[in-house]
Amino acid sequence: MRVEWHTVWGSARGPLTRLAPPVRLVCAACAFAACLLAPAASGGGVAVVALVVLLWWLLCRPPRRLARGAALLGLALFVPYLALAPLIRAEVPGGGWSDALAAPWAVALRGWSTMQVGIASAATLSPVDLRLALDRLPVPRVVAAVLLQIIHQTATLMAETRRIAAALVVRAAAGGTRSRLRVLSSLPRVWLPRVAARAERVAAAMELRGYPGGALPPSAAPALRAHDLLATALAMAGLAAVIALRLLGAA
Amino acid sequence: MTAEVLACRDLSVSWEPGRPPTLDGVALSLAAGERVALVGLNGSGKTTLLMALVGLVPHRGEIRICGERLSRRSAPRLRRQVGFLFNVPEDQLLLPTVIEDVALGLVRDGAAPPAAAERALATLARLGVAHLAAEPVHHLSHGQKLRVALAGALVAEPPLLLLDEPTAGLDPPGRGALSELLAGLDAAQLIATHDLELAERLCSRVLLLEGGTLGRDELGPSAIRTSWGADRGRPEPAAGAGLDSGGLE
Repeated sequence: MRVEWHTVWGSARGPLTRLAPPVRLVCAACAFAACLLAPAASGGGVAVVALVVLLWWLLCRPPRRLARGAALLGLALFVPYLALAPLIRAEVPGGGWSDALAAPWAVALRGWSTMQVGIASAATLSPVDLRLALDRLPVPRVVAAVLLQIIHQTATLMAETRRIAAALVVRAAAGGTRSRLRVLSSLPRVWLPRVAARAERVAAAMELRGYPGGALPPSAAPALRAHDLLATALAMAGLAAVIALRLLGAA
Repeated sequence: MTAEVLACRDLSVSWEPGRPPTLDGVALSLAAGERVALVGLNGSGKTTLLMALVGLVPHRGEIRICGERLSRRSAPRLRRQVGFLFNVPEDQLLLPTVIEDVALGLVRDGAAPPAAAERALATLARLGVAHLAAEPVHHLSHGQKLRVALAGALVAEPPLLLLDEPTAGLDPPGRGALSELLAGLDAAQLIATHDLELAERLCSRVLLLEGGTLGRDELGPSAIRTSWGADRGRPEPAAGAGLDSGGLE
């Protein structure tokens, strides 16, 4: 299942997309922080994380293909952390499985959930929305410009990678397994110089075009409406509740 | 006497010590409104020369833009006098949507965003791509990216245009339209190209870059075709930019 990077942005159709872009970003930050701060070791914390992710998916409604892909990619990336448990158990004499699993589980849960929130949030923001959001929030202009450029260039980089991979596949297809392996092993040596050359050219273009020229020019940000303020308040209240849960759990 | 918009003397670029320089003592000048073609085989240093002329590659020698010497300090200001089209147009598209990208130079120089957007739209219309204004740049084809990048170079109406393979990847009607558009501009133009027909139609002079030098200045396109030989002399203007060095030569 392949998802194009530039088609992720702004692809969601949930109610959250009706909020002003800066509010979407603030709510996303609250959901992200809630997943990070919820106590992963307690049942209540896990339930909170599950609720936040589910609610966030419903509010954002990213395309099903994207949601499924994000969930699977998250599992592929973070479930292997659980395999560290036997090693941790062996290091701690007398330690039980629950102790050994605590740290890998926390990493896996937080990593997976923040990834879901991050991708669903990206789906609610087109690159233009993201720029509007960053303009409106107290983010230094240069930081915003660099962030936008990273996102912009990631799409180019992924397209370049796909072209290289396609060329390698086509050229290796005629040969046998050995030829395919040889071609596959040469991917980094082909990819890195090309990416480095592209980075140099983009840097030259940025210098020539005066980007960001000290600060990216401000864009016309829309005014906040009542439901934007309400959503912000709810998101912050939710985050405050999660922080309280964490503090109470620690007490 | 016509004012010189661009002049360089003894311009040399060397990428690796111990190897022959890519550019060796190049001298050229462009008068206001003059259109000059820069031709040469792949790897002859055309892209490097264009990049060096705006101080984007380390070089030796003197470069003057609009009469002022290019230096580290003056470069940011002088570059505003130059519209530059990169060999790979995708590299110079820096903002998410077409209209924002084209308007960047104007807004950077202090124009109000609505006025900048209006001018950007007019420039896109001149290039026949006004309908793409709201499109994300990643949705465009190579030819469309080239037109958008060109619009970004033209929008501020700079007195000097440095264009690297402006017709590469364009369809024949697009090449014709671009040629007409460039012919109608007041800016001085230095056009690196393999498209000798474009050079013939558009430019008053053709410079041949060979062995790092502009050794045989003022040749006509037919003489260059002969010099390149029948089998390799016919360039392929419709071929993608990737056939060339793809960037810094």
